Amino acid sequence: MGQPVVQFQILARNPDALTAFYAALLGWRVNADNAMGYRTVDTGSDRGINGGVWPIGPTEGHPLVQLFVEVDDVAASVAKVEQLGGRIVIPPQALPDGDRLAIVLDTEGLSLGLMQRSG
Amino acid sequence: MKAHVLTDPTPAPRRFSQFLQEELAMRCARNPRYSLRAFARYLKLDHSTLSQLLRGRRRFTARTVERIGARLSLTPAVITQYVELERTSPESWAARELRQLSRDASRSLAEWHHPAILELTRLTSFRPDVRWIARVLDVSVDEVNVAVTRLARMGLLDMQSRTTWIDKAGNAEARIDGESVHAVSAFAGRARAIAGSSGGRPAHYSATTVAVASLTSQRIAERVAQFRREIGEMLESMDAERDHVYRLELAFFPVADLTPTES
Repeated sequence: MGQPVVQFQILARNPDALTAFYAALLGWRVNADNAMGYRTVDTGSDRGINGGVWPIGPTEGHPLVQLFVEVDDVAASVAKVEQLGGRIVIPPQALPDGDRLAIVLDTEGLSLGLMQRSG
Repeated sequence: MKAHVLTDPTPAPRRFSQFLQEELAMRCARNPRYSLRAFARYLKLDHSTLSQLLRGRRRFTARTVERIGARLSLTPAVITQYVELERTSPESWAARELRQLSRDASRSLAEWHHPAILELTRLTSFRPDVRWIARVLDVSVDEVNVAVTRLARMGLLDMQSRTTWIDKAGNAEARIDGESVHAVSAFAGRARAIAGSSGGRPAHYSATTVAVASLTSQRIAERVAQFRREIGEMLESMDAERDHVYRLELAFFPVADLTPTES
């Protein structure tokens, strides 16, 4: 079954401007009608992966792209991250749609989302 | 599970600024009133100097490391190690991470909607839906999500299940006293101005955001009125010559609009 990369996520200071940019450039469709107000991005293709855009504060971090990997058990994967020398940024959280998500840093300091689908 | 960035088990070497950021973060975690200014006072440094040192905008001199290290009771060997590291090592991603944590701590205390979000989770009517949170607090969905990210990153908010979010912070408090602004909420602008111009005279501002039952809120309002009357009576009963004018402001008001909406 593997542990596939299922989604990209862009962290943006101005998500509205960013999604407007990609909508104009690539025709990506954005929908934020969900309990997290999460801007899901549909690339409009049955190839590749879809994504999302998440806001960051004006003074924190910097805009970047993260990959989300689907795992069988997000808590177990997070525990393994520490054993392997990575770091936990956001411990496992349950999203309103039932998915579970954690954000970690790999050994290079790159952030990575670990996702467990609700069912 | 807590965010383990709060208790970094990574051994030395690390730069002196990282060590100080960790120390500040730990103090902030232990005491919600603690601030960069308080830390600077303790270290006998100007707060803007400390801020620049922590942000990497100013380099530590050997003498500064020695002085701060001694103040924090580091051994001479450890101080010497930090002096050497300051000469050589580049900033690591761990340092950036710790700096972010320290920024999270100060923002989570300073921006009023952070504690308000945590308090909303205590309500029976709470909905784990940022659109609802944004509406009742009259802030944007993005502001809620930036705050939720910070709170989760700090281990102050646990989104435990699709229906349950847990406030792990306890009762956070924003306070200004003396010339120091510990944390500033949206209500505190006036108090901040006063604290900044009080000429060294004692000033005190404190605020807390709490979830309450309607019945309790009436009782608190009565206690606030009673307290104000007691202060007035105490002043009237004192014979000492009056030589200053202070204003005592007590406010107790809702920050969330929980009026049901038509759906």
